Amino acid sequence: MVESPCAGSTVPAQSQDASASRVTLKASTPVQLRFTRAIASSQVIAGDKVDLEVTADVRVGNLIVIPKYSLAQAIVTIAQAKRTMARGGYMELKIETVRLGNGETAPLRMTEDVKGGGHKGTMIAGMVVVGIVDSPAAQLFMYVQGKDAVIPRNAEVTAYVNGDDLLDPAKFGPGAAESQPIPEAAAPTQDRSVPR
Amino acid sequence: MKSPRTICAALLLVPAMALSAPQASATDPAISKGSADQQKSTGAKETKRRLQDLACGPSSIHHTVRTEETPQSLPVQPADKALIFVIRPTHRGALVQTKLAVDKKWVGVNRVNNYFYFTLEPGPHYFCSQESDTQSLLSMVVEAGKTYYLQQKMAMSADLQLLHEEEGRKGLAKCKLSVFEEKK
Repeated sequence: MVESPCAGSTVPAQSQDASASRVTLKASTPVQLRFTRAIASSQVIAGDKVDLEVTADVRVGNLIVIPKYSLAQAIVTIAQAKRTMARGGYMELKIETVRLGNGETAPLRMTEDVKGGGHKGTMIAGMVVVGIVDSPAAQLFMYVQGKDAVIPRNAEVTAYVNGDDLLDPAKFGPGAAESQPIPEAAAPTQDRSVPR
Repeated sequence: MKSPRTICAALLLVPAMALSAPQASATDPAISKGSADQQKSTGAKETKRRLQDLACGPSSIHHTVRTEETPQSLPVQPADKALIFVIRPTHRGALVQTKLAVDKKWVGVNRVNNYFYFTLEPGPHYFCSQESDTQSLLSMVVEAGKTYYLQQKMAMSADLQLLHEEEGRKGLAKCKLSVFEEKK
């Protein structure tokens, strides 16, 4: 479970205005995700949807706004299988949305860029840490195997909430607020992905 | 010499062994891995076929092509569409045409040091570069207001590659506009 320092804020409860009781899931709140199946550039085409799941609760105060195991969705934006002359495949994904605890979805941002290795790439290692371009996002832990660009099952990645989202805590059900937040010192770090 | 009874027993045993084989493969990790690889390969072939169906133009259509020798002004990037340049900045295969189809329609033909361009509505599109009998496939979601550079290459077979903008501009600067039309 993770409480991010930038996860959001609770609006003062004294106000009579309905919106005053709402909480804000702030833009750039990190959301830890993992791929639920392996994705190979030879087996997808642009426009295909790819499922991911949330690996740690995202909280605003005491409220779990994105529970662990929530579904997130990415879209394949570029796909090319391995080519002749040992040229590797190429794949790019855009993580688009995540399901919130209230059943709604929140937009996420980030583009992953995975470039499959040619002979040179495969000779270097079976496991390669691949960077992400064209985004304020982060490094991504994944394998590049053979000549196709491959994201293995359970590969982890961090996406970020795209824009502030004003939420009504009443719609999250009783379970969402029951757990107490982990003390800051005990909370796992969110710095596995370093924005650049 | 074996008795007919033994032969019959052997014949009955063979199908029984064949039936039990899948159970054995489910527990043998080496065989399971082979099966997974096979599935992966099948998946790749199916995806390729699916993409060919979505991308490549009819094989019955042929084109004539010439190079516009006078320098041409480049098109203005439309705000509501993606602009695609297709370049072939190499000297290899001077007489060989490399055609490009998008969403089942041939949209242009290049020869050496040629380029052509076209616009696309935002969204997913499917590209098929063809040289003689070989094809190179790519699928891409294009965005309005963006410019994309695709490079056709002559290698052992057709090759299509998405370039970074800077690389694409450099390649484009070496090329002259291709003028092509469908043969009647």
